[in-house]
Amino acid sequence: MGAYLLRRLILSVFTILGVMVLTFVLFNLIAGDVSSNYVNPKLGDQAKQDWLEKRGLNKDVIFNKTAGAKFWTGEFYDTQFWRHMIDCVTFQGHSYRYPDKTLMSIIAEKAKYSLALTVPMMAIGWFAGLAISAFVAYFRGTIIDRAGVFITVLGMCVPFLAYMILGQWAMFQISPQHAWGLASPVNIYVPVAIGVIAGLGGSVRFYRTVFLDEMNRDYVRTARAKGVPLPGILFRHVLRNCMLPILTSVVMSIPFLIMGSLLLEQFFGVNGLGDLFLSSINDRDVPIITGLTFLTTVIYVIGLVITDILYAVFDPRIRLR
Amino acid sequence: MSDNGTLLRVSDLRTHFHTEDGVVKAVDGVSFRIDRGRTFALVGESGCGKSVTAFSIMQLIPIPPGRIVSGSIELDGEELLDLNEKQMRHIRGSQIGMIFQEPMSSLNPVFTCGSQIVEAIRLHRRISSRDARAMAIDLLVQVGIPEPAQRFDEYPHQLSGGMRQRVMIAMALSCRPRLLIADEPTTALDVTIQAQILELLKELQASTQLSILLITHDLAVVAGTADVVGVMYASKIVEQADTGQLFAEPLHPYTHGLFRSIPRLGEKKHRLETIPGTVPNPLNFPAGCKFHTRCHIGRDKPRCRTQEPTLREVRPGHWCACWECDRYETAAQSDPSDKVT
Repeated sequence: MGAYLLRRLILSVFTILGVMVLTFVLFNLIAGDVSSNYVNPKLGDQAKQDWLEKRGLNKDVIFNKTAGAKFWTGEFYDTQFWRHMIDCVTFQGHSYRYPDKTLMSIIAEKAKYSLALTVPMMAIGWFAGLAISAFVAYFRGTIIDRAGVFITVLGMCVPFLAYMILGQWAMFQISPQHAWGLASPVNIYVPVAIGVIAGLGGSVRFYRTVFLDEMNRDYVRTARAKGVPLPGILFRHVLRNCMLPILTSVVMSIPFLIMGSLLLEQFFGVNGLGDLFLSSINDRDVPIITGLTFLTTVIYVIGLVITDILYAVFDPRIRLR
Repeated sequence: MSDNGTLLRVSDLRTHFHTEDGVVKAVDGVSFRIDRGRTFALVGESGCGKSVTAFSIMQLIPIPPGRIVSGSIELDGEELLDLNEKQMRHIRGSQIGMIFQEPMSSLNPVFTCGSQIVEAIRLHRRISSRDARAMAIDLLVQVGIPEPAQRFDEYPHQLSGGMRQRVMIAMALSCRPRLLIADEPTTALDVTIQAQILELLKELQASTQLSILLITHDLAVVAGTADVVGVMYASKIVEQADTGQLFAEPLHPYTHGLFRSIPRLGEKKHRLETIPGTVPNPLNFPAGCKFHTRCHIGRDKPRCRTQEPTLREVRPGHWCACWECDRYETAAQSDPSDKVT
């Protein structure tokens, strides 16, 4: 287990480094002349050069060979690439839009809004999804099950955008002051509710399939032949066996937890990280985009390692070697 | 083994499945009884209704689509079909234990073997988990598992197929049931393990006065273990007799066909005989005797084609559902290769 973890962590470091290099290459290739977003071209070339100078964008790309620096000196690495790498890890880069704030302070300030939206949304969503799907699976083959499947399929067919537009429209009819923005803290419950409802169709269908798949297994028959009551079968025998696919789906959505819901935040004026991410892309605020990409990668990679460990915890057949 | 009276009496059991294509009469009028400390074997091909009979006794038929339409299942005089689900749950595991064909998948993979036995014990008895653990280890000793204390904490995947079936038996017998239903208990095991498991069942039966309902398609298993045999064909018992009697003198053409399709030592034959045709579709059983389409005697007989024979006692203790079995017997004797020894 120890050796496995060490190997996984080393591999994770390389994965993260790969993502960092890739984001740098991509932004160098496609971002183009970033300064045009921030410096009016009519101010002339000097203003542009000043702007670039201030942000270190006129340095050499990878290695600083011009100053005669040798590779063992710090100067040699005073380039755009190494600056990018260091800023990613330290979160001390400066946004183009808010030059006096570091990335860390911006994330710290905005993360709480994202978390206020996503944590209740996911927690309620998972809980409701599991409870409803267990309930529906319990009544498999009956009218309750069929109605449940019909409603969930219907729910899945409606696009996410439609939930948001309808939800917001309905909210404006009921009480307009709660339909947008965070002027009142309770406003957050509107996007939370919409997010939960929109996600429910898919998750109920997924968990129901997982539950039903397990309920047809031989060991369930054995448990019934022992005289285990149905709740015991569902929540002791079956749920434990369903943990692997459930865990996977939970971990897959952890980055989303931190990054917030891009669309929901935009739509409901929640000033969180998702909103920040979208606006950074619009404004070509490269340090923020790369910083947030790095953050997502790290969370995701750590999440995958944790999933592997939890797999071994929940399923004794899985050994980490 | 002495006869101490009847433990289980199944009378005219009918279990039907209502599918989209129609009603499948999986069990259609099956009656038998099992005496205390004795083994009754139900033999037949796949799909003839033997497992459905077993699951009907446990009331583990998936409802819907399945339904026990009529009949009676009496355990020690108590009518099981009148019990509700909660009462039936107390019968399962404590009065009737059950083991299955697939020891590989019949245990829950994420719990230790020991905890699954303890669960069975504590469902039916109010004892501490420490006592239950001691009891479970004791059971593992009884079913012949070496190093039981260590095996207790192992997971099913760490054991071999034979060991898992032993764990299943320990679990099924944990509350000292009076009846054990063994649904193809040795089919998935190789022959030496099969012999060990059957030997184990016999030992346990001798020491605890256990009655066993053995479901199998393997006549060799029947010969070694059963006291009474019922041969099932197309949802019904077509012949029933003491094992020795049935093996010596099979009366039903179907039973005869089964015996002739087994290879025998010392017999020179290039090809084994088979029963022509296939098992009829349960959605569309033939009229008359359900076997007449495959029967070399009754194929063209008007009575076999129109009227269904019922079980009748052809010899003392030997029941057969065939119009022609008396005549068949003489026909069989004229052909020495049919003679079953």
